[in-house]
Amino acid sequence: MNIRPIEVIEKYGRCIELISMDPFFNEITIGLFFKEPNITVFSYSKLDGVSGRLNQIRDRIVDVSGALPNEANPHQATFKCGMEGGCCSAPLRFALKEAVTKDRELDLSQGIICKDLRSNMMIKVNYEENSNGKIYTVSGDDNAEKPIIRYRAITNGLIKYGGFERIDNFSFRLSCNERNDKIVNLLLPLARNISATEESLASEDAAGQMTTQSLGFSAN
Amino acid sequence: MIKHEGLKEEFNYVTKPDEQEHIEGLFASGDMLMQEIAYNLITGQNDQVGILVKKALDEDYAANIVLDDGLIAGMAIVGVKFRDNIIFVPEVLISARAMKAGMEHIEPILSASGIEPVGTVIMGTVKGDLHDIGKNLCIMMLRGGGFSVHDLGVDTKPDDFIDAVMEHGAAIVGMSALLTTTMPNMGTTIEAFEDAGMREEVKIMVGGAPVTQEFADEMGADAYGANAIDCVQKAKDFSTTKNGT
Amino acid sequence: MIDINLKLTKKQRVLNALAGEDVDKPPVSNPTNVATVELMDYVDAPFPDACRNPELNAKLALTGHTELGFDSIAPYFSIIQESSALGCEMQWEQKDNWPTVRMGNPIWKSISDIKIPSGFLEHQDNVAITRSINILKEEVKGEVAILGKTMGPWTLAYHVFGVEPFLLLSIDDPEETKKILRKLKEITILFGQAQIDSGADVLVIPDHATGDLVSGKYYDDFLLEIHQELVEDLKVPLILHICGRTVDRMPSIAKTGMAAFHFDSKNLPSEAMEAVGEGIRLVGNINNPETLYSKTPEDVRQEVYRALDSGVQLIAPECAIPLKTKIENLLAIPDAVNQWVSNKFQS
Repeated sequence: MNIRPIEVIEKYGRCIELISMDPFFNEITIGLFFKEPNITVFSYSKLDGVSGRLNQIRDRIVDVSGALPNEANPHQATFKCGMEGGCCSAPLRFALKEAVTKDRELDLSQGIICKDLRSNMMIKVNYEENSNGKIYTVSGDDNAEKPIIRYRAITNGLIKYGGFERIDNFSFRLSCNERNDKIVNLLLPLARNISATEESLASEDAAGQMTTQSLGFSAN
Repeated sequence: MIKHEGLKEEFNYVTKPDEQEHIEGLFASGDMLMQEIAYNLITGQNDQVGILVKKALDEDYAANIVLDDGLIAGMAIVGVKFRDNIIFVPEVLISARAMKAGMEHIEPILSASGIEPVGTVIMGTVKGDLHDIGKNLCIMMLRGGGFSVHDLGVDTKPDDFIDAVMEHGAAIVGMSALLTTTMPNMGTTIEAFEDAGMREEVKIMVGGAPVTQEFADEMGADAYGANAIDCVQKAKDFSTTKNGT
Repeated sequence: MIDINLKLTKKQRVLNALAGEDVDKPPVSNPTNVATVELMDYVDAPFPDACRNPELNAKLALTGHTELGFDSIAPYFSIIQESSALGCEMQWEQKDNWPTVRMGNPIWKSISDIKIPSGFLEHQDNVAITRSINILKEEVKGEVAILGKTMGPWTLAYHVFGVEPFLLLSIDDPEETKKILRKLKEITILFGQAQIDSGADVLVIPDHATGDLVSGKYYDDFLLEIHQELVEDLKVPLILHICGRTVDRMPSIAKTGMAAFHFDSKNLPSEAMEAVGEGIRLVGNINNPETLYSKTPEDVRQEVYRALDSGVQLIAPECAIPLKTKIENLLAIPDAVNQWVSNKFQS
C-alpha cells in the first residue's frame, strides 16, 4: 500500500493503538484506527501478505470482542452499539493486543470463567437482566482464604479496563447496557491481577521513550 | 550541641525548625570526635572518615554511637542539602563514599554483636525506576538504626515486593521512586498487596524526590518519608506497634 | 520577527530563525529526531538497521520533510553513533527501542586512555551518518535544512567513563576533569566537521550536563568555555541540547554564542525566554511522554501555541520523540504553527 500517512488519517481516522512489532508477521507495526462507525486494522508495511495478515487480525478482533465484521472491507469492523460513548472503546487496546500477539481460542462454552492467579479459585462472571439493566456479577467457588476480597478486586479490574459502570462491589454493566460476553471474557484475565496488567502496560509505554532517566543521566 | 566550627557552618543549611531540632538532637552529646567524623563525611573526605572512625573504635567508643552520632548525623545534613538543591549528585556520591569508608569498620562489629534487629524491612525502587541513591541512603540509615534490610534493588516489580515480604517475614515495605512517571507504580504495588490479601499485614512507606505526603495518602501508603532520616523514624514508629515486629 | 509576505524555503526559514532574522512563520525543526515505528514501516527502514546503514537512515530521516511537513531533517536519531565507533559496548536493541551504550562497562578509566581509534570516521556507525547526509543533500537540493549532530564532551564522558565514576572524578579532581573534557572535545569537533563536510547545514550538540545530576555552576565551571570554543571551531549554526530542568543554567548558555538552545518541557517557555533574554534563540519544547505520546492533536496544538505565545523561535518536540508516537500528533505540530500564524497575522 502506497497510501501516505496524511491520507491514512483522513481515510481511517485517529489511531487508537499501535502494536510496534507483530510477532507473527515480520515484526511489522499494526495500528488500530477509528473513524465512525468503523475500526480499521492497518499497517504501512508493503511486504507481501500484509493484507492477509490484517484480515486475520480483524477476524481475531471480531472473535474476541464481539465486533461485527464489515463485509465490504476485510480490515474493518464495527460495534452495533456504535463507538463514540459505546461499550467498546476502552477495551480496544486489549482486543488489538490479543488479536495480534496471542494465538489462542477464547472459549465461552463454559461461560465467562478463568482461574484466579492469587488462589486456587475459579472465577466466574454471570450475566442476568434485572431492574438495573443487563448486569454482570463476579463470583467464584470460594476456594481462597479471602474470596470476597478477590471478587471485589477483580470487579474493580473489569470496571477499570472495560470502562464499565459499577452497580455494586461485585456487579457492573457495559456503558451501552448491552450484552457482550466476549468483551468481559477478554478482560477477565487482565482484571484478576491489576498490578501485573499495569506493569505490563507501563513497560509497553516506556519502551521507545528517550528521557534523561532512560538514558541513565538522572537521579531524578 | 554543635561545637565544631565547620559543622556549624554546614548546619546553617538546615532551615526548617523541626529538622534543626532533630539534627541538633543527633549532636546532643557535643563530642568533638563525632562531630569531626560528621564534618568529614559531609565534605566527602572518605580517607579521613575511615581514619577517624577507626580511632573512635580504638578509643572504645561503642560502634552504634559512632554510627549514630558521627555517620548518620552527618548524612542527615547531606540529605537536607541534596533535597534543597544546595548540593547535587556528585557531592552526595562523595559523602556516600565516605559513609561507606566508615561503615567498613563498623559493620563487622554490629554483625558480631548478635543484637536482634528492631524489625525487618524490604526496600526497593519501584518498577521502571533505575535510580537508587536515595534508596541506598535509606538502607544505610535503616541498618544503622538496627533494622534488618533486604534490598531488592531498582526496577522492582510488585510481585517481587510481595515475594520478599513472604520470604523474610517482613512487616515493613519501603518504596522509592525518583521519577514522576514511575510514582504511580507505588499505587500499583499497594494494590498488589491488596489483591494478594496481604495489605493488613505490612506497613508501607514511600519516599523519593518527587513524592509528597498528598501523593502518599492518595496511593494508600501508611507513611511518607521526606528524607532518609525520616524513613528511619517512620520505620521505628511502625516497629513500636504490634505490626512492627 | 514574523513577516508573512516573505517567501522562504524550509532551509532558509530554519537558518533565518537561528540567526534571529525575519521569517515567514516559525519553523518546525526537531534537533533530535522524528523516527517512529510507523514511518519505519512506511519506508522499510527499521531500527537498528536504520541507525547503522546510510541508505536506510536517509530514507527514514527524509520522512520528516516529505510526510510530516517539518522544515528540517535530522539523520542522527540517537546519541550513540560515535561512542560505538570509539569502541563502547553497545546494546543495539530492536525496532521499537533506542540503542544504548552499556555505561556499566566503561571503556576508559583515565585521561591516558583517551585515544581516537584509527579509522574512526570510517567506522560503520559514523559513516551511517556522514554518508546519509550526502544522500539527503542530493535528495533535498537545498530546499530543506539538514541537521547533523555530534555529542558534546560531557555526554561522551558519561559514555566512555561511566556516569558515577565521571561525576566522582569531577569533584575529586576538577582540573583533571577539565583536561578530559578538552580531549574529548576533539572528538566532538572531528565528527562534527565530517558532517559539515558531508553537507550538514546546522549541527546539534547534545551535552547532558542536566539539572537532574549537576548544578548550574557545573555548567559554568566545566562547559561554558568549551561550548564557546565550539562556536569558533565549527562554522555552522550550532544548537545546544541539554535535557531536563535547565533554567538555572540558561543565562550561561545564552553566553555561548551558539545559535539556539533546545530545551525540555520541564522548563516553561516563558521562564526559558526570560532566562536567555536576547542571547540565544530557543527550540522546543512540546512534551514527549505525555502530550505527544498519550494525548491528542488538540493537546499538541495547545502546547505549540503556548511556546509561540512566549516567543519561542523554533518549534519542536522537547527531545527525540517516543518511537511509538502516533503520526497524527506529529502532523499536528506544523498544522498548529500555520494556524497560529493565520490567527495572529491574517485575521
